Amino acid sequence: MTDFENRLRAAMHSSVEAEEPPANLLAQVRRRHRRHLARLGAIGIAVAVAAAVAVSPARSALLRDVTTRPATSASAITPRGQVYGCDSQTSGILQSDWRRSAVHAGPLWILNQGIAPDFNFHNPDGTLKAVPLIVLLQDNVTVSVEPTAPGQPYFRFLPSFNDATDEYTLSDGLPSATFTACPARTALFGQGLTEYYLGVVVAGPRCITLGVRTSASQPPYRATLQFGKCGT
Amino acid sequence: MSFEEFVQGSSPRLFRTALLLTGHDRAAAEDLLQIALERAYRHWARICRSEEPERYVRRILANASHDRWRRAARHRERPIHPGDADRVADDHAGAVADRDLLMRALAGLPKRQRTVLVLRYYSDLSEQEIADVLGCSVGTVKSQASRGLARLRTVAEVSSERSWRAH
Repeated sequence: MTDFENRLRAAMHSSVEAEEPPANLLAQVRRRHRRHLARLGAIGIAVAVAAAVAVSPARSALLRDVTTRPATSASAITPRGQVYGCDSQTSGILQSDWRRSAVHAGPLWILNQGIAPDFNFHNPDGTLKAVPLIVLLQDNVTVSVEPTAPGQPYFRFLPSFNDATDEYTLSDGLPSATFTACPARTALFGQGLTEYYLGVVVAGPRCITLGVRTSASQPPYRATLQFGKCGT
Repeated sequence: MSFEEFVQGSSPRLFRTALLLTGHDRAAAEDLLQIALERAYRHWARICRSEEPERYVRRILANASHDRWRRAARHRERPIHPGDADRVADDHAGAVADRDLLMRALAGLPKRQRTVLVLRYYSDLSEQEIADVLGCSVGTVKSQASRGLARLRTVAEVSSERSWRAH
Protein backbone atom coordinates (compact mmCIF):
# COMPACT_ATOMS: atom_id res chain seq x y z
CA MET A 1 0.00 0.00 0.00
CA THR A 2 1.38 3.42 -0.95
CA ASP A 3 1.80 6.37 1.37
CA PHE A 4 -1.15 8.05 -0.24
CA GLU A 5 -3.35 5.02 0.30
CA ASN A 6 -2.30 4.91 3.95
CA ARG A 7 -3.07 8.59 4.22
CA LEU A 8 -6.50 8.05 2.73
CA ARG A 9 -7.22 5.16 5.06
CA ALA A 10 -6.19 7.18 8.09
CA ALA A 11 -8.30 10.11 6.95
CA MET A 12 -11.36 7.89 6.54
CA HIS A 13 -11.02 6.39 10.00
CA SER A 14 -10.24 9.69 11.64
CA SER A 15 -13.14 11.49 10.02
CA VAL A 16 -15.80 9.12 11.38
CA GLU A 17 -14.29 7.64 14.55
CA ALA A 18 -16.33 9.88 16.83
CA GLU A 19 -19.60 9.34 15.01
CA GLU A 20 -22.35 7.27 16.59
CA PRO A 21 -25.63 6.06 15.11
CA PRO A 22 -28.87 7.59 16.39
CA ALA A 23 -30.00 6.25 19.74
CA ASN A 24 -33.43 5.26 18.44
CA LEU A 25 -32.07 3.35 15.44
CA LEU A 26 -33.78 0.09 16.33
CA ALA A 27 -37.16 1.79 16.68
CA GLN A 28 -36.65 3.51 13.32
CA VAL A 29 -35.83 0.19 11.68
CA ARG A 30 -38.93 -1.44 13.14
CA ARG A 31 -41.09 1.47 11.99
CA ARG A 32 -39.68 1.17 8.50
CA HIS A 33 -40.34 -2.56 8.56
CA ARG A 34 -43.98 -2.00 9.53
CA ARG A 35 -44.34 0.37 6.58
CA HIS A 36 -42.85 -2.29 4.34
CA LEU A 37 -45.34 -4.88 5.59
CA ALA A 38 -48.20 -2.46 5.13
CA ARG A 39 -47.11 -1.80 1.57
CA LEU A 40 -46.92 -5.50 0.81
CA GLY A 41 -50.39 -5.90 2.29
CA ALA A 42 -51.70 -3.16 0.06
CA ILE A 43 -50.22 -4.83 -2.98
CA GLY A 44 -51.76 -8.13 -1.94
CA ILE A 45 -55.15 -6.49 -1.60
CA ALA A 46 -54.76 -4.86 -4.99
CA VAL A 47 -53.96 -8.22 -6.55
CA ALA A 48 -56.97 -9.81 -4.88
CA VAL A 49 -59.25 -7.01 -6.01
CA ALA A 50 -57.83 -7.20 -9.50
CA ALA A 51 -58.55 -10.92 -9.61
CA ALA A 52 -62.10 -10.28 -8.48
CA VAL A 53 -62.50 -7.61 -11.12
CA ALA A 54 -61.26 -9.95 -13.81
CA VAL A 55 -64.10 -12.40 -13.19
CA SER A 56 -66.79 -9.86 -12.52
CA PRO A 57 -69.41 -9.20 -15.16
CA ALA A 58 -69.19 -5.54 -14.27
CA ARG A 59 -65.40 -5.49 -14.49
CA SER A 60 -65.18 -2.44 -16.66
CA ALA A 61 -67.04 -0.36 -14.13
CA LEU A 62 -65.13 -1.75 -11.19
CA LEU A 63 -61.82 -1.27 -12.89
CA ARG A 64 -62.35 2.44 -12.65
CA ASP A 65 -62.41 2.08 -8.87
CA VAL A 66 -59.43 -0.22 -8.74
CA THR A 67 -57.31 2.10 -10.77
CA THR A 68 -58.76 5.24 -9.23
CA ARG A 69 -58.67 6.89 -12.61
CA PRO A 70 -61.45 8.63 -14.47
CA ALA A 71 -62.97 6.31 -17.00
CA THR A 72 -62.02 6.60 -20.60
CA SER A 73 -62.45 4.00 -23.21
CA ALA A 74 -58.72 3.99 -23.80
CA SER A 75 -57.95 3.03 -20.20
CA ALA A 76 -60.41 0.16 -20.02
CA ILE A 77 -57.96 -2.64 -19.56
CA THR A 78 -58.25 -5.88 -17.69
CA PRO A 79 -55.68 -6.13 -14.92
CA ARG A 80 -53.27 -9.00 -15.34
CA GLY A 81 -50.09 -10.21 -13.74
CA GLN A 82 -48.48 -8.13 -11.01
CA VAL A 83 -50.69 -5.17 -10.21
CA TYR A 84 -48.91 -1.96 -9.31
CA GLY A 85 -51.47 0.34 -7.76
CA CYS A 86 -51.40 3.89 -6.49
CA ASP A 87 -50.56 2.69 -2.98
CA SER A 88 -47.15 1.62 -4.20
CA GLN A 89 -46.37 4.59 -6.45
CA THR A 90 -43.11 6.43 -5.77
CA SER A 91 -42.01 10.02 -6.04
CA GLY A 92 -38.40 10.34 -7.00
CA ILE A 93 -36.68 13.29 -8.60
CA LEU A 94 -35.24 12.55 -11.99
CA GLN A 95 -32.92 14.68 -14.02
CA SER A 96 -34.79 17.02 -16.29
CA ASP A 97 -33.76 15.16 -19.43
CA TRP A 98 -34.79 11.70 -18.17
CA ARG A 99 -36.97 11.11 -21.22
CA ARG A 100 -33.89 11.02 -23.44
CA SER A 101 -32.64 7.87 -21.76
CA ALA A 102 -36.02 6.21 -21.33
CA VAL A 103 -37.60 3.54 -23.48
CA HIS A 104 -40.89 5.02 -24.65
CA ALA A 105 -43.99 3.05 -25.62
CA GLY A 106 -47.26 4.95 -25.90
CA PRO A 107 -48.18 6.33 -22.48
CA LEU A 108 -45.30 4.51 -20.81
CA TRP A 109 -41.62 5.31 -20.18
CA ILE A 110 -39.19 2.80 -18.70
CA LEU A 111 -35.77 3.63 -17.28
CA ASN A 112 -33.47 0.67 -16.86
CA GLN A 113 -29.96 2.03 -16.96
CA GLY A 114 -29.16 0.83 -13.51
CA ILE A 115 -26.87 -2.04 -14.20
CA ALA A 116 -23.17 -1.88 -14.85
CA PRO A 117 -21.96 -3.17 -18.23
CA ASP A 118 -20.50 -6.23 -16.59
CA PHE A 119 -23.42 -6.82 -14.22
CA ASN A 120 -23.86 -10.51 -13.47
CA PHE A 121 -27.55 -11.40 -13.51
CA HIS A 122 -26.95 -14.73 -11.82
CA ASN A 123 -25.86 -15.41 -8.28
CA PRO A 124 -23.23 -18.12 -7.82
CA ASP A 125 -25.95 -20.58 -6.82
CA GLY A 126 -27.85 -19.98 -10.05
CA THR A 127 -30.54 -17.76 -8.61
CA LEU A 128 -31.16 -14.36 -10.12
CA LYS A 129 -30.51 -10.87 -8.85
CA ALA A 130 -33.26 -8.31 -9.00
CA VAL A 131 -32.83 -5.44 -11.42
CA PRO A 132 -34.53 -2.14 -10.59
CA LEU A 133 -36.70 -0.35 -13.12
CA ILE A 134 -38.41 2.99 -12.99
CA VAL A 135 -41.71 3.07 -14.83
CA LEU A 136 -43.56 6.30 -15.58
CA LEU A 137 -46.97 6.41 -17.18
CA GLN A 138 -49.86 8.66 -17.99
CA ASP A 139 -52.50 6.03 -18.66
CA ASN A 140 -53.36 2.58 -17.33
CA VAL A 141 -51.41 -0.11 -19.14
CA THR A 142 -50.75 -3.79 -19.07
CA VAL A 143 -47.26 -4.87 -19.97
CA SER A 144 -46.39 -8.40 -21.06
CA VAL A 145 -43.12 -10.00 -21.95
CA GLU A 146 -42.91 -11.13 -25.53
CA PRO A 147 -42.68 -13.72 -26.84
CA THR A 148 -44.93 -15.33 -24.27
CA ALA A 149 -44.20 -18.89 -25.30
CA PRO A 150 -43.70 -21.06 -22.20
CA GLY A 151 -40.29 -22.20 -23.35
CA GLN A 152 -38.82 -18.71 -23.26
CA PRO A 153 -39.15 -17.46 -19.71
CA TYR A 154 -36.45 -14.86 -19.38
CA PHE A 155 -38.13 -11.98 -17.59
CA ARG A 156 -40.47 -11.55 -14.64
CA PHE A 157 -42.02 -8.66 -12.71
CA LEU A 158 -41.46 -9.12 -8.98
CA PRO A 159 -44.17 -8.41 -6.40
CA SER A 160 -41.63 -6.67 -4.18
CA PHE A 161 -38.08 -5.54 -4.66
CA ASN A 162 -35.56 -5.89 -1.91
CA ASP A 163 -31.92 -5.55 -2.86
CA ALA A 164 -29.04 -7.10 -4.68
CA THR A 165 -28.35 -9.70 -2.05
CA ASP A 166 -31.72 -11.32 -2.51
CA GLU A 167 -31.99 -14.43 -4.52
CA TYR A 168 -34.87 -14.90 -6.91
CA THR A 169 -36.05 -17.43 -9.40
CA LEU A 170 -38.28 -16.77 -12.36
CA SER A 171 -41.13 -18.42 -10.49
CA ASP A 172 -41.02 -15.57 -7.95
CA GLY A 173 -42.52 -13.17 -10.47
CA LEU A 174 -45.02 -12.93 -13.28
CA PRO A 175 -44.48 -12.28 -16.99
CA SER A 176 -47.02 -9.49 -17.13
CA ALA A 177 -47.96 -6.49 -15.04
CA THR A 178 -50.64 -3.87 -14.74
CA PHE A 179 -49.59 -0.31 -13.98
CA THR A 180 -52.16 2.09 -12.65
CA ALA A 181 -52.04 5.72 -13.69
CA CYS A 182 -53.11 7.67 -10.62
CA PRO A 183 -55.30 10.78 -10.85
CA ALA A 184 -53.30 13.97 -11.23
CA ARG A 185 -54.22 15.15 -7.74
CA THR A 186 -52.73 12.05 -6.13
CA ALA A 187 -49.91 11.29 -8.57
CA LEU A 188 -46.79 11.98 -6.52
CA PHE A 189 -44.33 12.36 -9.40
CA GLY A 190 -46.12 15.34 -10.95
CA GLN A 191 -46.33 16.39 -14.61
CA GLY A 192 -49.42 14.19 -14.91
CA LEU A 193 -47.27 11.10 -14.57
CA THR A 194 -47.28 8.23 -12.10
CA GLU A 195 -44.00 6.64 -11.13
CA TYR A 196 -43.28 3.11 -9.93
CA TYR A 197 -39.95 1.83 -8.73
CA LEU A 198 -39.95 -1.94 -9.02
CA GLY A 199 -37.78 -4.97 -9.39
CA VAL A 200 -37.62 -7.45 -12.21
CA VAL A 201 -35.57 -10.56 -12.77
CA VAL A 202 -33.92 -11.26 -16.09
CA ALA A 203 -32.14 -14.42 -17.14
CA GLY A 204 -29.72 -12.15 -18.90
CA PRO A 205 -27.85 -10.73 -20.52
CA ARG A 206 -30.43 -10.32 -23.28
CA CYS A 207 -32.98 -7.94 -24.71
CA ILE A 208 -36.59 -8.25 -23.72
CA THR A 209 -39.44 -7.02 -25.87
CA LEU A 210 -42.55 -5.99 -24.02
CA GLY A 211 -46.02 -5.45 -25.38
CA VAL A 212 -47.69 -2.41 -23.83
CA ARG A 213 -51.47 -2.28 -24.05
CA THR A 214 -53.83 0.50 -23.14
CA SER A 215 -56.87 -1.30 -24.44
CA ALA A 216 -57.81 -4.83 -25.34
CA SER A 217 -58.97 -3.68 -28.74
CA GLN A 218 -55.86 -1.76 -29.71
CA PRO A 219 -52.63 -3.32 -30.93
CA PRO A 220 -49.84 -3.15 -28.35
CA TYR A 221 -46.98 -0.70 -28.38
CA ARG A 222 -43.59 -2.38 -28.38
CA ALA A 223 -40.82 -1.60 -25.93
CA THR A 224 -37.45 -3.31 -26.08
CA LEU A 225 -35.36 -3.21 -22.93
CA GLN A 226 -31.67 -3.95 -23.08
CA PHE A 227 -30.27 -5.91 -20.16
CA GLY A 228 -26.65 -6.26 -21.11
CA LYS A 229 -25.90 -7.35 -24.65
CA CYS A 230 -28.73 -8.24 -26.99
CA GLY A 231 -28.76 -11.30 -29.16
CA THR A 232 -27.43 -13.72 -26.56
CA MET B 1 -27.49 -13.75 17.95
CA SER B 2 -30.68 -11.73 18.06
CA PHE B 3 -31.27 -8.87 15.66
CA GLU B 4 -31.24 -6.45 18.59
CA GLU B 5 -27.84 -7.69 19.73
CA PHE B 6 -26.52 -7.39 16.21
CA VAL B 7 -27.71 -3.80 15.86
CA GLN B 8 -26.22 -2.88 19.20
CA GLY B 9 -22.86 -4.35 18.35
CA SER B 10 -22.48 -3.53 14.69
CA SER B 11 -24.40 -0.35 14.07
CA PRO B 12 -21.54 2.04 14.99
CA ARG B 13 -19.25 0.47 12.38
CA LEU B 14 -22.03 0.28 9.81
CA PHE B 15 -23.08 3.85 10.46
CA ARG B 16 -19.53 5.10 9.94
CA THR B 17 -19.36 3.19 6.69
CA ALA B 18 -22.68 4.75 5.68
CA LEU B 19 -21.32 8.21 6.48
CA LEU B 20 -18.37 7.66 4.18
CA LEU B 21 -20.56 6.20 1.45
CA THR B 22 -22.85 9.22 1.56
CA GLY B 23 -20.07 11.78 1.64
CA HIS B 24 -20.63 12.63 5.33
CA ASP B 25 -24.29 13.44 4.79
CA ARG B 26 -25.59 12.44 8.22
CA ALA B 27 -29.28 12.36 7.30
CA ALA B 28 -28.58 10.29 4.21
CA ALA B 29 -26.34 7.97 6.22
CA GLU B 30 -29.03 7.39 8.84
CA ASP B 31 -31.55 6.68 6.11
CA LEU B 32 -29.16 4.34 4.34
CA LEU B 33 -28.41 2.41 7.53
CA GLN B 34 -32.12 2.08 8.26
CA ILE B 35 -32.72 0.70 4.79
CA ALA B 36 -29.92 -1.84 5.14
CA LEU B 37 -30.97 -2.98 8.61
CA GLU B 38 -34.63 -3.22 7.65
CA ARG B 39 -33.76 -5.40 4.70
CA ALA B 40 -31.57 -7.54 6.93
CA TYR B 41 -34.41 -7.79 9.45
CA ARG B 42 -36.65 -9.30 6.76
CA HIS B 43 -34.20 -12.15 6.27
CA TRP B 44 -32.64 -12.29 9.73
CA ALA B 45 -33.45 -15.95 10.24
CA ARG B 46 -31.17 -16.73 7.31
CA ILE B 47 -28.56 -14.03 7.85
CA CYS B 48 -27.95 -14.78 11.53
CA ARG B 49 -26.94 -18.31 10.65
CA SER B 50 -24.03 -17.05 8.61
CA GLU B 51 -20.63 -16.66 10.20
CA GLU B 52 -20.43 -12.97 9.44
CA PRO B 53 -23.84 -11.31 9.50
CA GLU B 54 -22.18 -7.90 9.46
CA ARG B 55 -20.66 -8.76 6.12
CA TYR B 56 -24.12 -9.43 4.71
CA VAL B 57 -25.45 -6.17 6.01
CA ARG B 58 -22.46 -4.23 4.74
CA ARG B 59 -23.16 -5.71 1.34
CA ILE B 60 -26.73 -4.50 1.49
CA LEU B 61 -25.45 -1.12 2.63
CA ALA B 62 -23.04 -0.78 -0.25
CA ASN B 63 -25.61 -1.79 -2.83
CA ALA B 64 -28.36 0.33 -1.37
CA SER B 65 -26.00 3.30 -1.33
CA HIS B 66 -26.23 3.66 -5.04
CA ASP B 67 -29.24 1.50 -5.82
CA ARG B 68 -27.22 0.48 -8.82
CA TRP B 69 -28.05 3.78 -10.50
CA ARG B 70 -31.15 5.41 -9.16
CA ARG B 71 -29.46 7.70 -6.72
CA ALA B 72 -26.74 8.55 -9.21
CA ALA B 73 -29.39 9.57 -11.69
CA ARG B 74 -31.21 11.70 -9.17
CA HIS B 75 -28.35 13.54 -7.60
CA ARG B 76 -25.83 15.20 -9.76
CA GLU B 77 -22.30 14.37 -8.75
CA ARG B 78 -20.38 17.14 -7.15
CA PRO B 79 -17.32 17.71 -9.32
CA ILE B 80 -14.07 18.23 -7.48
CA HIS B 81 -11.57 20.75 -8.68
CA PRO B 82 -8.01 21.36 -7.69
CA GLY B 83 -9.17 24.80 -6.58
CA ASP B 84 -11.24 23.23 -3.84
CA ALA B 85 -8.01 22.61 -2.02
CA ASP B 86 -7.53 26.29 -1.33
CA ARG B 87 -10.77 26.69 0.55
CA VAL B 88 -10.02 23.84 2.89
CA ALA B 89 -6.35 24.57 3.34
CA ASP B 90 -7.11 28.18 4.15
CA ASP B 91 -9.59 27.22 6.83
CA HIS B 92 -7.72 24.51 8.63
CA ALA B 93 -4.23 23.51 9.43
CA GLY B 94 -2.00 20.47 9.20
CA ALA B 95 -3.50 17.04 9.45
CA VAL B 96 -7.03 18.21 9.98
CA ALA B 97 -6.91 20.20 6.76
CA ASP B 98 -5.42 17.26 4.94
CA ARG B 99 -8.10 14.93 6.25
CA ASP B 100 -10.91 17.31 5.45
CA LEU B 101 -9.55 17.91 1.99
CA LEU B 102 -9.42 14.21 1.26
CA MET B 103 -12.90 13.60 2.66
CA ARG B 104 -14.27 16.49 0.68
CA ALA B 105 -12.65 15.14 -2.45
CA LEU B 106 -13.92 11.65 -1.65
CA ALA B 107 -17.46 13.00 -1.33
CA GLY B 108 -17.09 14.54 -4.76
CA LEU B 109 -16.21 11.31 -6.50
CA PRO B 110 -18.78 9.40 -8.57
CA LYS B 111 -20.64 7.07 -6.26
CA ARG B 112 -19.20 3.89 -7.66
CA GLN B 113 -15.62 5.07 -7.27
CA ARG B 114 -16.37 6.29 -3.77
CA THR B 115 -18.01 3.02 -2.80
CA VAL B 116 -15.04 1.03 -4.04
CA LEU B 117 -12.58 3.21 -2.12
CA VAL B 118 -14.61 3.07 1.09
CA LEU B 119 -14.93 -0.70 0.93
CA ARG B 120 -11.22 -1.01 0.15
CA TYR B 121 -9.69 1.42 2.62
CA TYR B 122 -12.26 1.68 5.40
CA SER B 123 -13.88 -1.75 5.42
CA ASP B 124 -10.63 -3.44 4.37
CA LEU B 125 -12.25 -5.68 1.78
CA SER B 126 -10.14 -7.31 -0.89
CA GLU B 127 -10.75 -6.50 -4.55
CA GLN B 128 -12.44 -9.86 -4.99
CA GLU B 129 -14.73 -9.22 -2.02
CA ILE B 130 -15.64 -5.80 -3.37
CA ALA B 131 -16.42 -7.33 -6.75
CA ASP B 132 -18.72 -9.83 -5.03
CA VAL B 133 -20.44 -7.08 -3.06
CA LEU B 134 -21.05 -4.87 -6.07
CA GLY B 135 -21.81 -7.63 -8.54
CA CYS B 136 -19.05 -6.65 -10.94
CA SER B 137 -15.69 -7.96 -12.07
CA VAL B 138 -12.39 -7.56 -10.24
CA GLY B 139 -11.18 -5.60 -13.24
CA THR B 140 -13.95 -3.08 -12.76
CA VAL B 141 -13.06 -2.74 -9.09
CA LYS B 142 -9.42 -2.12 -9.98
CA SER B 143 -10.24 0.47 -12.60
CA GLN B 144 -12.72 2.28 -10.36
CA ALA B 145 -10.23 2.32 -7.49
CA SER B 146 -7.46 3.53 -9.78
CA ARG B 147 -9.54 6.36 -11.17
CA GLY B 148 -10.79 7.36 -7.76
CA LEU B 149 -7.30 7.43 -6.28
CA ALA B 150 -6.00 9.39 -9.24
CA ARG B 151 -8.62 12.08 -8.76
CA LEU B 152 -7.95 12.28 -5.04
CA ARG B 153 -4.21 12.51 -5.66
CA THR B 154 -4.70 15.36 -8.08
CA VAL B 155 -6.55 17.37 -5.49
CA ALA B 156 -4.07 16.51 -2.75
CA GLU B 157 -1.02 17.33 -4.86
CA VAL B 158 -2.36 20.71 -5.89
CA SER B 159 -3.11 21.43 -2.26
CA SER B 160 0.41 20.51 -1.16
CA GLU B 161 1.96 22.57 -3.93
CA ARG B 162 -0.05 25.66 -3.08
CA SER B 163 0.51 25.20 0.61
CA TRP B 164 4.27 24.97 -0.01
CA ARG B 165 4.25 28.10 -2.15
CA ALA B 166 2.33 29.97 0.50
CA HIS B 167 5.10 29.39 3.03
